[in-house]
Amino acid sequence: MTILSVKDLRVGFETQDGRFEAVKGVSFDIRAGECLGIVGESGSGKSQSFMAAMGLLPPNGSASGSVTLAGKEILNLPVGKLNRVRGADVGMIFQDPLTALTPHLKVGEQMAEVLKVHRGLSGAQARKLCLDWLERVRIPEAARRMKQYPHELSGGMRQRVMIAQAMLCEPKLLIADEPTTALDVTVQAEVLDLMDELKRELGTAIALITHDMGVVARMCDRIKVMRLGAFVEEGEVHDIFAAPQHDYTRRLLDAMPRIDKGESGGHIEGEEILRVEDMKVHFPIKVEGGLFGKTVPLKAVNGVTFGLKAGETLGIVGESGCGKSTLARAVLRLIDPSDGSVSWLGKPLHAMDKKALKAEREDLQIVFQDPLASLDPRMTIADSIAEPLKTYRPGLTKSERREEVLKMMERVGLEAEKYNRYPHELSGGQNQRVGIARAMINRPKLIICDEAVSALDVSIQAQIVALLKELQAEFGMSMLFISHDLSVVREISNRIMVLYLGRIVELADAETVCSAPRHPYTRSLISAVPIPDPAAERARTRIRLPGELPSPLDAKAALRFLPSKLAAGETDYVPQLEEVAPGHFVAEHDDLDRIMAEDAA
Amino acid sequence: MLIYVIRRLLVAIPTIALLVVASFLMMHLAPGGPFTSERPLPPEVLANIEAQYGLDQPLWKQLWDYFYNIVVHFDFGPSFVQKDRTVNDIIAQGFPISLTYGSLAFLAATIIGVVLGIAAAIRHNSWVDYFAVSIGIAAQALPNFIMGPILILTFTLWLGVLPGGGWNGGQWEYLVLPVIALSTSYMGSIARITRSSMLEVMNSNFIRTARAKGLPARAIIWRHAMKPTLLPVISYLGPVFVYVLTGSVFVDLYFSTGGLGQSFVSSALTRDYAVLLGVTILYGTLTVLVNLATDLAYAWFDPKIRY
Amino acid sequence: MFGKSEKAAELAADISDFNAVRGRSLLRDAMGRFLRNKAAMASVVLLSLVVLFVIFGPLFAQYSNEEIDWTRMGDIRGMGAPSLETGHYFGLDELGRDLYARVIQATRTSLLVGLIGAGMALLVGTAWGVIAGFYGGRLDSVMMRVVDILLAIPLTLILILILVVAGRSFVALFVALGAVSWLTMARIVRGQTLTLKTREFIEAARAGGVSESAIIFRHILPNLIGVVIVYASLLVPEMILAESFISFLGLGISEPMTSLGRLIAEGAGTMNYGTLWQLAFPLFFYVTIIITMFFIGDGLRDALDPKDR
Repeated sequence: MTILSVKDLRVGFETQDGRFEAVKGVSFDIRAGECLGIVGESGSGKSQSFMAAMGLLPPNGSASGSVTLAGKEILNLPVGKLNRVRGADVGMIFQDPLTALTPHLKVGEQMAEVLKVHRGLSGAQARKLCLDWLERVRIPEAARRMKQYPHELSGGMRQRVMIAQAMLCEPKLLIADEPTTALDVTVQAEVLDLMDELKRELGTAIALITHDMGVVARMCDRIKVMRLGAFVEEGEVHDIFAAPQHDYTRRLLDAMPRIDKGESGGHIEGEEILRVEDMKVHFPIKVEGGLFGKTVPLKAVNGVTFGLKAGETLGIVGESGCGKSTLARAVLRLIDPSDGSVSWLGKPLHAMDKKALKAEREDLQIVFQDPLASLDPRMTIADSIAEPLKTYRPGLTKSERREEVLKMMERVGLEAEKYNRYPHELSGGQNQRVGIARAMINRPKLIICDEAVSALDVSIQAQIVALLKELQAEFGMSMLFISHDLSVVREISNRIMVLYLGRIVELADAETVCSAPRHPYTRSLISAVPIPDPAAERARTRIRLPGELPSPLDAKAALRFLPSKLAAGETDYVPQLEEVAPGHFVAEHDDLDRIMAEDAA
Repeated sequence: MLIYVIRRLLVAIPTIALLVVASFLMMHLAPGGPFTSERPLPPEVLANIEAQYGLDQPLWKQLWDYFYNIVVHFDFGPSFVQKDRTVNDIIAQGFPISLTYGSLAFLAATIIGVVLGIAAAIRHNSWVDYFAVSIGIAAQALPNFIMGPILILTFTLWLGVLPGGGWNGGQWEYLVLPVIALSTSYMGSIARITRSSMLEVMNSNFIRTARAKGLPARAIIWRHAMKPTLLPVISYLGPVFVYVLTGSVFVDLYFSTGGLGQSFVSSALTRDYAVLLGVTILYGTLTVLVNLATDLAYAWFDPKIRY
Repeated sequence: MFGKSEKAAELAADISDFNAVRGRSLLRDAMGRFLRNKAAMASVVLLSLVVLFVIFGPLFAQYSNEEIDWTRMGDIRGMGAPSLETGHYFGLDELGRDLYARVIQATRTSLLVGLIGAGMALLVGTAWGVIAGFYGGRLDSVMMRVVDILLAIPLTLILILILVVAGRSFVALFVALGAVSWLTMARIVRGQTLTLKTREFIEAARAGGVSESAIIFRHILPNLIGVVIVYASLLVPEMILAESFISFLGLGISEPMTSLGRLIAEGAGTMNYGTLWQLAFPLFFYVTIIITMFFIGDGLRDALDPKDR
């Protein structure tokens, strides 16, 4: 039975430069109990199609065509009539769960109002139903959460609240717009499992809008690949993954790095150029207590030791709050470490004065996550690229400097005609090339890539990763590659270091970490990464650790994998790294069964 | 929360103390004084008067005595110019009047301004919007010291419906014109701030969620959009309250209401430093308290802020 | 000869080497948006007319701003009305002085007050805010405490105090206005600097070995321009209002110099005698300046910060 039927839907926006067509006539059906994936990169119009269908376009947008829900036309209905459908027959969840919930209303209040407008329920009845649903989406301590504000919940919990709220009236269709993009990979896996369960148990149809082929492979029955406002390919999920017909689909699939196969950086021999010894970065955090409050240290990085060889790439992975970005900045002394030492080519970087540090920085560069934010918006890209040249080679004449900049621009794949452009005129991928050119212009010996490809579309991401590898082959620099995306890290790194709350839990060759992880945390992380192959993805079993990712301020969190020590009362115990095989270090931990048992207790 | 209030008050003490010292020194170091006039007094008379007010003491001693009297006796000393009156008397007489019409003007400006701003934002780009925006701009461009004479001309001289001045124990007829004159320009700014804040809030993600839930427009505006809309308005209201009280200078001049503004200006012109100092300290303290109240109100509107 | 000079060679290379497309800088974008804003552009035209009037108006004045027209001062209401014949285009004031000359002088004063007040705010406030925000720590808390204390005293009170203590003069007036105008600017600039400081392009510059002073001048200040211009433009009417208020109380500039606030006060005082022109002309210029500055400020904000409405 068809739930939602869209025919020749067109969406346009009035802008200052005239009308812009975001969706150019798409048609599709969603049947009861199926999950339809709408896949595309940014700007493909995938979200806008659904916003238009539900009457949620911004004031300058307009839509034409036909959208029928259970046979009734709903496109461009007056708001009053549309409101009987929204929230009752169709539920929606959005990408960013923090801003998607009203900040000043308690969770219970926001949920209850759905029941009030659509079911006329209020009071104890409504509360009961809300509580049921919160428990159903597996929110711990649901009764307490009802009385909390959204900002008091973690990202994963907020998205669960969104789902519970959308499901309250048991809609026939759930529209999920990039529901897990802002979440950590283990949390993403849980939210996806939950949605799959709802689909199977209640027969709710799901429209899943996403850019992630891995998510599609796990979730969808059918998919539509969208590009520039139109579908380029559609069909059953297994067929498309097995034999993509359209060029664009093929490119998209090829661009996806996989954690289970494909090449990874092999072992590399070389001289150690960077040695980080017992690095600690603690931030003072103000908390309540006493007349003037008190400060406790937030241990963002808490004793990290590693070395990096010339020409080697070390991947650093971990979920949000694990301290990976802080570690990178502390190594470069953009933040002063609280303790520990950094030895760079034998010199103590942590003890240098400003002048000596400046001299060393010629060889130490960094590429940031957000390509637009990392460039000065008021400088042309050539000026940005040339800035390190001005500092370290002040003797160059203007034309020599321009020569250098142009050469580097060509090397990173930027046309010379972009020389005088400003960052806001370029795409994200192009801006990231500018960032790389700036970092590379003095031929540094070490580049730190801090989530350098995370903000980019998959196809662009693949290009940038390829560029970095090429540059490394040509100039031989070492890299610290920081990312939350294990698949990308595996593709580019020789070794991988897994961080958990400011500590190393596992460090080994890239292949070893991904195929034979030892530490329970690494194992759960790897098992949560979606694989863009429906057959392989659905055959896997996930390792679910009990509880959510705890706060770094929680003293007990550090011993999450050593419940035996906690039980013995040794709350100050520091898990040690053990070398289980040559070059394979794993932090002390209890058996997986023992950790899982904690949940039951 | 209580701890936060205590902490803020403790921090406010040095601020106010510094304010007292700075104003005290500034006024005592300035050339000229209340007793320098065109006809110089005989030196022995002047010395007598100065001794009477303690002005012959070294400066630090004067400052210490001033401080001591305020803290221990809550006594701001005698007026230099108005014989037999203390600063406490003058403030006790004028301040209640200023506070009465000031608070009324504050309420009027806030309520009308917020309503206008919200109406404009809800009916964005309609005649309601244009009307509200024009009123807002006109009200802002016509400062309150121009509104005064215009109002008197219209309501007192032409229409003859309202008295053009006096206080008369605060009867309502005597309150209407001062309150209107004082509130219009702030009403204009409040309307503008509310409007742009609401327009921004209506574009945010959680409003999209509320619409996706099928809530009626009324619920979206009142339950979801109102509090965040008012946040920037609240941070503007604190200063407005202080402005309304100090801006009362012209109201006192025009409508002869006898508030504190009159005392302030006349003491400025006659260099009655004792009164000037007293009023400055009063307003400074009031500002600090109003800022605290603003921050507390903020916490009520935004659950993310906890003290 | 030509070919030997390095500079000429560079210049030649600039022209012949390659043709890079000129990018549109953010400021040029903003300029375009501002030019398209009809209300703001109309205000610019209107304000320019006022400025031209102030500059060239005196050429047509028949009288100076202090001389008293003894022949007509006996009957201001009857003979002092605006008229082309008598040469008193805007009529006479209550003392029999030419209002045309006085309005021009007053408008000039008000415009100067606005510009100087905003200019002081621009220089002092920006420097103060950038230093406090960029260097942070104890310096920041001391500097901001100073601002907080000064802000705790209502603006008009500070103005009155300074004018009483320092005496009434042009210089004292400008010092007084300058002393209060920079406070809020310093706060705004500090806030902006704090957010800019954490932006990745500043980190990138530091990682690239750029010195702190170069970071301030090359990266922070240019990125503050938008906020600073917008706020300064909004300060202009605020300064004019404050000065008018002071003049209105009789504490501003002393005779024979005058300002719009003072003229309005005088005009308002005499309007029941049927000499409405004494209020109308100064009020017209005053309201024109204030309203055009509002629209220009709004237009600049829309242009420089398109997210903000």
